Amino acid sequence: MTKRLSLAALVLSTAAVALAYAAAFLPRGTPPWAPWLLALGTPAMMVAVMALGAARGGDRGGDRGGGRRWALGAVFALTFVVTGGALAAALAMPAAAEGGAAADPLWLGLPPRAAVVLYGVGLVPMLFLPLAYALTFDEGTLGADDLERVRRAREAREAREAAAAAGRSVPSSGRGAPPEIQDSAGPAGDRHHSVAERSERLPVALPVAVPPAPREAPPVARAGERT
Amino acid sequence: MTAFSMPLLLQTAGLPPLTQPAIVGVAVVYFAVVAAISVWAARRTRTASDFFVAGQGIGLWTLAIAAMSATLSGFAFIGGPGLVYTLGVGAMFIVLPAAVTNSMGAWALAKRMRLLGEVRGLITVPDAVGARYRSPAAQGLSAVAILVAVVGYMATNILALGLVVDAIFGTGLGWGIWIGTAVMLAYSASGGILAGVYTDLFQGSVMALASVLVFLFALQAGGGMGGISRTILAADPAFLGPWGKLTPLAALSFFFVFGMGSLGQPHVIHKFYMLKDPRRLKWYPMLMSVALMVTLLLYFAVGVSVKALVAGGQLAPLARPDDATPTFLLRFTPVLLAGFVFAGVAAAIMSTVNSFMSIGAAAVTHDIPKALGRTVGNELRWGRVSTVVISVAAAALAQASGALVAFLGIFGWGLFASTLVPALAVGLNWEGATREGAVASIGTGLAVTLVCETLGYFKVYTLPAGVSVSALSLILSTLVFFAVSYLTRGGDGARIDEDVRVVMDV
Repeated sequence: MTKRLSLAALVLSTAAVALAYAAAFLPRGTPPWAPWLLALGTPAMMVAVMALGAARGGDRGGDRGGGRRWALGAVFALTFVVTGGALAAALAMPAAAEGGAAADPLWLGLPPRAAVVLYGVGLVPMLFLPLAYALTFDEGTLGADDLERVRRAREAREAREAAAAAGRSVPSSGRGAPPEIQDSAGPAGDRHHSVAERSERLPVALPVAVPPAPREAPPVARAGERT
Repeated sequence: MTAFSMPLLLQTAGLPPLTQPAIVGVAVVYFAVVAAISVWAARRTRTASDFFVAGQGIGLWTLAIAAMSATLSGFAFIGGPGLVYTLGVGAMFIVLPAAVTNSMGAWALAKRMRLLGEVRGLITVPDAVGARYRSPAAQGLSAVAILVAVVGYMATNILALGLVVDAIFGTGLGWGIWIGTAVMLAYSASGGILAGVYTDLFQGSVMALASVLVFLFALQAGGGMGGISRTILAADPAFLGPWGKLTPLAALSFFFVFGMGSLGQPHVIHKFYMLKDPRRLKWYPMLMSVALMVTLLLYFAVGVSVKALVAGGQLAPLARPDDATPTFLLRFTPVLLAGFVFAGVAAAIMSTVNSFMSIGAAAVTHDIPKALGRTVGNELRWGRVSTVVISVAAAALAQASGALVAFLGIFGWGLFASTLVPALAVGLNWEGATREGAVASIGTGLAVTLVCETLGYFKVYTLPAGVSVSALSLILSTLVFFAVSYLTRGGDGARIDEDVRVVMDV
């Protein structure tokens, strides 16, 4: 659900930014609402991308996952409020304060509207976003069990490649089947290579020992074929 | 109001002469340290993995500082303060997104890129595009976009480095270009990205320290932030308005392009592959944000301080905005610090170019052959050869034509952003993205950027005020990505390999 919401927010904010730019092409010039769309649409896009990236597959339910989702949701909402709010405030606040009035009060050394932009957009998110990332990392971004799952996926792929190289029958599709490896391909489609072939060509040594394909092994699937 | 134009971001004009013993001495020491690091790295570079992804063995601090160094080119030290001097607060919209972009990049890309490297042994950014969509076409197209952008970017940076070398050593621009290129090639071709990241670590530290010191001197020279503001407000209040000398749309365009576009910069994204332990990413946004903020202090402080000094009559108006940093340093800081900063400028340029060398060479020797169904036998050797060829081509371009360099240089950021943000940053997080959507999106970004920049450069068609080609191409490629993915959902192009799906799930 979080992923769908994030995606919907991303599509809507992209459309808002596109509309702002499209408005600039109008013959009578950029309408006054266009900067507002850009001021709110860009932070919304950034927050939506963050939320989309933070969202996980459906395998992490339970209270802890729910708590993390709420915490991150609050952080992302705060980011939008701070950045979008600061840009909107700069658009909304009267310009009179800078009208040559050098004696007007300054906010931390800057005129109010500039301070709202520079501190609100350029500084405040930095105070909590990286911290939120770090504090939710172990539980919500990459735990030891996640790494283990990734390593199992790699081993499954390698096992399937090794089996293919040895000419053994392996399931070719479905959730239980080891994944395919796509590598170089011609215009007709993907070519599949054995792990042994890949280990010779890949610049990164495979992390597990891979038996070389026996000479008498049947040919490995080639372009357009499926193992 | 000043129009928003990407050529504003290019350093193509010369610097004032800086040939003083102290400055030359600091520069010589700096180049000697770089040489020592490159010799050390060259001895440790034995495989293509070492050459392109530092053997997946770097630590968090190195990653963060190297990513920061690669992000900031010489523009942050020379062109940027000049732009602040010209546009006021409006120029800050280029760097303001940095408060969010490092965390955004961490959530959207860092973990998934690093884990893709874990399951597939990937070494390039187009590799990730190819693995995500099971598509050599998408991989090849993104590699072509990267290569086009890299050559232009490198040419502009090499030209800027030539200007710095000329200003410090008095070599003349031509020799400056080739001396700078030779130094970069010496460590990039021998030690690859391994040399690159460790020189980046040194260079980033130089940049950060130089920036903090100059920031303090700038505040002192202007009478503190309050004093600077009051002096400027009395003479030119619009300068410190929320959009500076830009229109709101133009300033917000900077924010959009440099905010969302940061997700598509391959010289930064590529570094995620290099981290030894993926779980160390935990503190990456924190370190990167602090390093970037500290290093950007100079960008803002010199620009506003020089403006206040000119407004207060302590400095004559600058002949060119790019003179802001050299003029300030030579007049208001100790000469050793000036030397340190100019070494920092060279460092910023070299660290960026080194990253471009690496991803450009990888595109030539790895991605494009792969897309064509071919493989290169010895990627380490050919990676070195490609590095030399690309660098010499870029240096020759820089020497041959400043106008051509300016033309090619404006492609870079927008081309990277429009071709990689939808396909990679969104696609790695959305299972509904399809191969057709990715190919159409990358093609759109490539075509819109090249056509619009060409038409604009030759003044055949100019976009409305406040609209940049980078913004237009990024938004169009994103819309095309969503639309085509939706239209082709359920087809073969929507399939995801199981191991990649696991990476997208966790």
